[in-house]
Amino acid sequence: MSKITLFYDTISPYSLLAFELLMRYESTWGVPVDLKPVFLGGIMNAAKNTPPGMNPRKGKQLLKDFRLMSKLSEVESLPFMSNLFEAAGKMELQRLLALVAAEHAGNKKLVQQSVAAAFALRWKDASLRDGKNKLHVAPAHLRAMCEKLGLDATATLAEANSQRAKDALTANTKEALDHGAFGAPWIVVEHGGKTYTFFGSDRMEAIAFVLGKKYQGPVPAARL
Amino acid sequence: MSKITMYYDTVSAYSLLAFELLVRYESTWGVPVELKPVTLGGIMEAAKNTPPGMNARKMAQLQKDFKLMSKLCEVETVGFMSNLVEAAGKLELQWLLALIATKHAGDKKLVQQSVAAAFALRWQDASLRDGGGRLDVSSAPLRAMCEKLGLDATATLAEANSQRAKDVLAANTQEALDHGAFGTPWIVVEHGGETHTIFGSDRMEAIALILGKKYQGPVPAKQ
Repeated sequence: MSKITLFYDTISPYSLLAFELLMRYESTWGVPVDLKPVFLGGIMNAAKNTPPGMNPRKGKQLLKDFRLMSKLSEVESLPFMSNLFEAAGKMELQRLLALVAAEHAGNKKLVQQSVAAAFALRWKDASLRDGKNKLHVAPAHLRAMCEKLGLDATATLAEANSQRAKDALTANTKEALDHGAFGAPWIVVEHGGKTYTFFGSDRMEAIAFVLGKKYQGPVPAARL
Repeated sequence: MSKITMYYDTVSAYSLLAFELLVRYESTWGVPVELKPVTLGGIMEAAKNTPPGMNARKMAQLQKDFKLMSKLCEVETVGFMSNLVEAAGKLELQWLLALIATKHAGDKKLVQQSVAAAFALRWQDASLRDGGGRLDVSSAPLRAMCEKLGLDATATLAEANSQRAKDVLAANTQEALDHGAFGTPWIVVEHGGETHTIFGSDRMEAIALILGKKYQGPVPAKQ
């Protein structure tokens, strides 16, 4: 059975694009997509890698490229937050997602909604950005996110800070590393007895190729 | 007038893919593609960047990714040479391409053929690899390349090693850097009064969007 696994961190802008593209194609191709939150900082560390944005030229190109690729992919997004590196170190949202994925593993729709909601907090909701485009994710935002998902906010947020949630995030991060990851999004495609690894959100055509499916651009028609 | 400029180094695997894709689409889209050789080492240094292949995990992924992307793009290659770093430091081939591009600026077909021939030397000719995957980086294959292009090999190689050729390569490299380059392939798209910079060989769909053209996959029908 073919399967796609997306290892993602919501701080990673190209993880947002990969998430949206893979969700569209999940129904089009009929191949299940498993969403696994990781901690990008942990991947970078273990891979002896550094964030590209720390190189000024790369940082400049990333801003332009993400704007262009968001437009191409028809994904709404705010620009890079001015406090990206600071925000990247805040693990609470990723732990929350790990908890929801573990606790509601049978409820795929809820898990997907939680991921979409988390990406929205970091990349789509202008009310979380201040006048200097700094991102501030407050406890109240996390509470509201839980409530909107129909979860008990107090209990869920308490569990998100538990050892269980931390362990789930760590386990996912290690799994991504075992698959060769050095950044996010890291996509693993299992098909025909083989395993393929992809880095970034710009390999949809190649993923179609290994699956023997058709690539229809960033916005495919729904599955016929 | 819309225009695409590709800054490339033949030692760069993804520059090969970008070259083949852009040349295919040049006729399909009717947008001219100018090919400007640079030295990747010079770009890396000025950009304070390091080759991704120096990170073990990245290199492992690069090998797999390049193989898959080559297959997707229907580009034949014999894979990464085991002496990639050594090959990157041998500038003679890039000087040669800079010389030909300058001297034969009006002969677009010849210039394209020279670039294709150079990429073939580095990425497609199995006879230039030894048992351990080491690429022959001597001048001998360059002589044969000149002859096949209908050029006087002795004169052309002498000119390729002249200050003039080195200056052209340096100027191209500076130009790429002025466009923000930190690696290759570095693609500049000018359209509708705007200039867009693209890194890598996996942005053809985005280039089509900029140009208001249709992306038809890696092997488009001719115009």
